[in-house]
Amino acid sequence: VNLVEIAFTVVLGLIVNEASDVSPRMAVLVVRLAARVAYTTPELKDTRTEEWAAIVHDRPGKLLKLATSLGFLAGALLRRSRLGMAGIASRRLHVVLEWVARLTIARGRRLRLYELLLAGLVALGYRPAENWLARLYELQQRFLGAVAIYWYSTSRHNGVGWLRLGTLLEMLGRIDDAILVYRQATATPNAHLARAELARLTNERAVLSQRDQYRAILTPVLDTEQALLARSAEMLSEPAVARIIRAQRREGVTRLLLGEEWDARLHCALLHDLDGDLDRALAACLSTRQDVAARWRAYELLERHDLIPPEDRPLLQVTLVPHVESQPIPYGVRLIHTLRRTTARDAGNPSGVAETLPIHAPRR
Amino acid sequence: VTDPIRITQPLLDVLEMLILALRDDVDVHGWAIMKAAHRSGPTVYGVLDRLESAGWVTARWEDVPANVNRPRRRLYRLTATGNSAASKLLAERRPSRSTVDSPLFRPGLLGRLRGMPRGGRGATT
Repeated sequence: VNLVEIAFTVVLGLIVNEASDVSPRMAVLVVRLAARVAYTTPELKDTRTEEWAAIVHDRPGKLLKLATSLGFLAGALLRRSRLGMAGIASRRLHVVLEWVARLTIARGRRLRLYELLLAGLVALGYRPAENWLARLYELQQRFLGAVAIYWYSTSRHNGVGWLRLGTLLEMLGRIDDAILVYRQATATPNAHLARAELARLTNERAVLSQRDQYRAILTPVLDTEQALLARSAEMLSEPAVARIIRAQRREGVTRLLLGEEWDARLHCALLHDLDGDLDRALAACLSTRQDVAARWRAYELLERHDLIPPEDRPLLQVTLVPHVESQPIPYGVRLIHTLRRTTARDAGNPSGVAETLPIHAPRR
Repeated sequence: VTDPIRITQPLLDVLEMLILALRDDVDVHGWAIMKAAHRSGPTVYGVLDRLESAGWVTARWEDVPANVNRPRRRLYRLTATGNSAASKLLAERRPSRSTVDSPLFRPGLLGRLRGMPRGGRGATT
């Protein structure tokens, strides 16, 4: 036995001794983390934290306390992976789940934990990666790359993807391609909105009344929600996921009824506008000041009703352009372009439109 | 009150345990359920979550004297609705199993449960 081995033994002994001493405290921290991971509501998180801490406290031995808490953490991670998958009820997730199901359930064997986790990770990473790539291509004006990605996003989806593609093409100045896309989009469930966009771009006679245009704006939202619900329903074969989805639906309905969700208020605004009550529509929009999309909608309402004073338009441009650039929501982009067009018109410089705008302005 | 979504063996184990505890007028905590049902913590708490959200069980915090420095246990008890529904469910799913075979009657455990009298209902939940 040499000196190094003696020192190693002593140090190892100290480490083990210290680790066993701190393990009860670590166990409490681990169960707190487990409760945070497993549950979404603050009350349940606090309840389970104390409850599991009591269980850990009752376990004999220091290391056994830590082992028990790690068991809770493992269960919580499994639960979270299911919850995370249920929360991202996207088509991409559905594709991943289909792939997993083909490999497992269809072959008559149970889903393994690592497969579930792998599917969750792929599904979590897929959408951000796709959005990042699409944005990169947009910023770099790489037409083909952007088209490829958005085209892919439309391949088995409802018409929202087509409309996103059309908007992108407008932004890139490819009006003919945008028209082509909108024509194609008329074969999708969002035909009304596609027709409205088509009419705007081709300067054809408006085929939709203003009322129908608002309905058309709501249609893709409702279609998307319906599609998501349908996909969620298909996931009901996994009972834990089903329970979470049901809970989320209950929560969603409650929030909708309470009017806490900005999109619920936005829908209210559109319905008020349908009824011709612009004041209430604006009030509904502006009651969601925290959300820039709602403000865009309010400005769009004002613009549509020709209520924005000409002197305010440059200020609005200055205010809104950074928002639009940071969050390219289609109607925000359209509003900016409308404002630019009307500003140029007011300044007696209609040619300025062509210089600054690669898109056709909405019909008035 | 809705039915728990998924009828599983752990659910039946937990219900069996809760029914017997109700007959003895004791409230049981999570660790006792885990021990009696021979199920892991995440499994038991998954079942308890479902039962609580379905309104089959109620929970309350145990009364801990102020001079005792330990976390409070949470005690569970079947509701009247839960009791009738659980009895019916167990009669359907486990008709041959007598209560004597229940894990609650394993030596030592019943006494531990009996040490957990009811009381303090309405405490923090």
